[in-house]
Amino acid sequence: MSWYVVLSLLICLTATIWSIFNLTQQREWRLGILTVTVAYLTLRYLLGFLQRIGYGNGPNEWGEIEELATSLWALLVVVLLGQMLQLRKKAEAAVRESEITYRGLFEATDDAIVLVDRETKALIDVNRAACERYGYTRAEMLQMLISDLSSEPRKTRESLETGERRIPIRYHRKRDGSAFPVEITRSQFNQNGRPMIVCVIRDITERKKSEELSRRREQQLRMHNQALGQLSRSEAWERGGLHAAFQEITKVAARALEVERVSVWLFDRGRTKIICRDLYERSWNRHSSGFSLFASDHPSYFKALSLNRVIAADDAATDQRTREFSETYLKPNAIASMLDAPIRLQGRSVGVICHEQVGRARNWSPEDEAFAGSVADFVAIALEAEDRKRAQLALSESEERYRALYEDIPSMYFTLDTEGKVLSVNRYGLEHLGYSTLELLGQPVLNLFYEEDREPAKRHLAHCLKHPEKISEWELRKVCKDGRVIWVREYVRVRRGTDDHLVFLVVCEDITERKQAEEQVRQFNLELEQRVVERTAQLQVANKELESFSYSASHDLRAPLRSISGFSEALLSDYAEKLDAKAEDYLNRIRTASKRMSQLIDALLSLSRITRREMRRTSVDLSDIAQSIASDLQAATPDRQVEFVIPPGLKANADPTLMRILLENLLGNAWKYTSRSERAQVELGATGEPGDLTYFVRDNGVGFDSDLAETLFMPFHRLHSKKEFEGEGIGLTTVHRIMQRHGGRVWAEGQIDQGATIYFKFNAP
Amino acid sequence: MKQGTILLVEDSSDDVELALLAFDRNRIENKVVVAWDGMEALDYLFGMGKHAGRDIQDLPVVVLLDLKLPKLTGLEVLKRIRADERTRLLPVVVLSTSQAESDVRESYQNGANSYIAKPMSYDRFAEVIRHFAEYWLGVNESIPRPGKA
Repeated sequence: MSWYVVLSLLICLTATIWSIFNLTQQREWRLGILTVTVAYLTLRYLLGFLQRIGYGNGPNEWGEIEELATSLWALLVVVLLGQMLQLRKKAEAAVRESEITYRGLFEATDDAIVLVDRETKALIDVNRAACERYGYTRAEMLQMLISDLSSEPRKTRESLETGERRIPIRYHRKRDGSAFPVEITRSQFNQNGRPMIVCVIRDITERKKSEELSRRREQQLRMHNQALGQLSRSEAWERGGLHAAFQEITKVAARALEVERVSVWLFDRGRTKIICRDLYERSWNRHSSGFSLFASDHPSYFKALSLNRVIAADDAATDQRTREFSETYLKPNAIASMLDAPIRLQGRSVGVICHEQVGRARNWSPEDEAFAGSVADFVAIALEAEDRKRAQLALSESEERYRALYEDIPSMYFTLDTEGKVLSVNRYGLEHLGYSTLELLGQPVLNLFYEEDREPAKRHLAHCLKHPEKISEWELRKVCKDGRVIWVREYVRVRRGTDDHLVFLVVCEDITERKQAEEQVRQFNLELEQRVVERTAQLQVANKELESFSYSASHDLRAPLRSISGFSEALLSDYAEKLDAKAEDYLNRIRTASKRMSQLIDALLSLSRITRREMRRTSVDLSDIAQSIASDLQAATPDRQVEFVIPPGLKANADPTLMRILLENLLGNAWKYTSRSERAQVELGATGEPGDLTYFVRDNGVGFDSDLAETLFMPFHRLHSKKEFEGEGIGLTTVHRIMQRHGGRVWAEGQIDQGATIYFKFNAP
Repeated sequence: MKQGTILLVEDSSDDVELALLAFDRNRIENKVVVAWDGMEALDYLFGMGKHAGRDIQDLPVVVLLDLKLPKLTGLEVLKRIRADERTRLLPVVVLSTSQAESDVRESYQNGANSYIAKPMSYDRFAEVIRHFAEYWLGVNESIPRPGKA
């Protein structure tokens, strides 16, 4: 057998087996039979050709192969036909089953499915869902055209012509006339040669609604985000301060949230109320502020503020957190819904931002709430920014203040290194000394001192370094650049500088003026001493003059008086028989008057003697003197009964003679004014601490009107008429003068008919 | 009562008159010579001036001398009297309105025999004059006047 016979057979066999395998897989039995037949015919043709050319061993040999091929072809055709019959049976069963399944599906699905005759547009079949959706019975629907279901019949008709597969939205009409959106999916097929369209009609009302909702939500979110973005980019609080920031926040929030009113409220210091810092009303596009809401009036709301992140009251009038506002706030402002977010700063609620819907109530979405919270955060940021700004301002102000203070305070400030070289000087120091910074920095401070004071200054600084804990101070002289010498007082302390080196801190004050003033005071004191010496001399001269005046006054004034009184008495005694009664009376008057005048002159003289007397203070026993005066008085008027109470050993540091005159006057007065008392008593005593005694002379006599106590010590002033009690009215004046000379004082206490007490007190000698 | 002149040295006519009245009232009948100033008093005692030629041996029994006098003060007069041998022992009684301690002391220091302060009251003065007369013209023994033993 030749090689190409074998090759042809192999090809035919392979093609046949591959075809059968392949076609049975695809259940394309017709093509299988065709392929096997072609392979068979090809083989026969090939065998015929081989026989004709006489190739091979003989025609028998090819006949066997031909019979074998024919048997194989017939077998394959039979197998394939058998398989074909079995497959068709299976397919018919599947169609029946599928019909039942599809019918079930057809009826069970929620989408309305209608079968439409393409030519008549009539509904051929409808499912249950369609009946329910459109509100018709199946029978009714099978009488209707597809366009009867549509709200847009013209569009429906047109689209049936074009044969679109999918109509995304079309509005259909129910039996009751209400329209609803549908999505239609169509497919065409032929039934019994008639073109049919099956329409799957899906009600998309809900989807539409939720789409609308999410679109709106998206839009809102976009607005919210835009608003927040705008706020975060805003420079209102950096430029315009808190007020501008609040105005921007309320405005932006009102627009983004589409509410009528947005307001920022902050707690007052005592947290008893919130005060409106800014209210924005969108329809008026206006801002206002200043009103308050008290915690005591709205306890639930204030409690909610401290607990909630956001108070979303869809119906503010009934929400238990906000209904407190109903009458006073909500109704007058027509507020229906409130969305309030507490403003928190460092964990503490410091206020609230209120978004208020006017008119129809509103259901706040979670996005709204989140937005309100974010707006509140922006208010907090604004507050923080303001705080920070204020703190920075305060800091820089205080820095500036201290800097100004340091530079311009009228004291010179130096810092020196341990070698005494100048590290810094303030402006006042430079100006005062007349140097520039360059001239002083790095120079030894000692050069600034007056030459003689350099050595002491050096010693002081060295001492200071040894005792760094103390503030040292000294007064020395410095020399200004212009050669002026000034006195300075320096306070110096050693401190550790920032770079760990020791530095002297020197505060230096110009005390030149004080020094000059001190010098002036010293000069003045010297002059004063000199002047006192001069004055004393002058006084001594004046005293001498006064003395001689008094002497001549006493003599010269008394001489004429003596004549007056002498002659009137001479007339009375020697010429009595020649005088009538009237003349005698007149003469008596003349005599009395002159006698009185003489007494006054005597009193005046004795007073001036007291003033002029030289004083020698020594320890004087007042008791002794008083005792002796008492006996004198008793002796002079033996018929009077007066009890003297005089404790022994009462001493005073005073002039003995003047003390005698003083006690004579006081005890004499007491004696005189007790003359009408039944049990007259006169007491000398003292009260107070030893060394600081107040002495007194007390009697139980007629006393005096306490209102007139001051006048007692005036010269020639008498509280009693001459007829009542004798006297010149000079006694207490004398006492006063004596105490004056001792640098002490005297005063009187008494009441009419209650006796009198005269106190006297010495100063320390 | 001793006889003899009383020399009254007094510049005030009022005082002279009152003194004379007092002498009268006390019935002192001695001759009273009035010298109106210190100079005149010395003229009288030493026979000078308007008293020139007077017998100066005839000294007064007592001199009543005021201190406050024109020209020559009473103390000056007293000093001159004591300074002169002829009048050194002549009784001089100072009769003054002054009670000043200095006046009293100086008078005695310069040899006054007595010092009488003139009281204000005439009655009292008359009494003082009576005591004066009783003592100096009665009780007191003075040195016998030369020439009249």
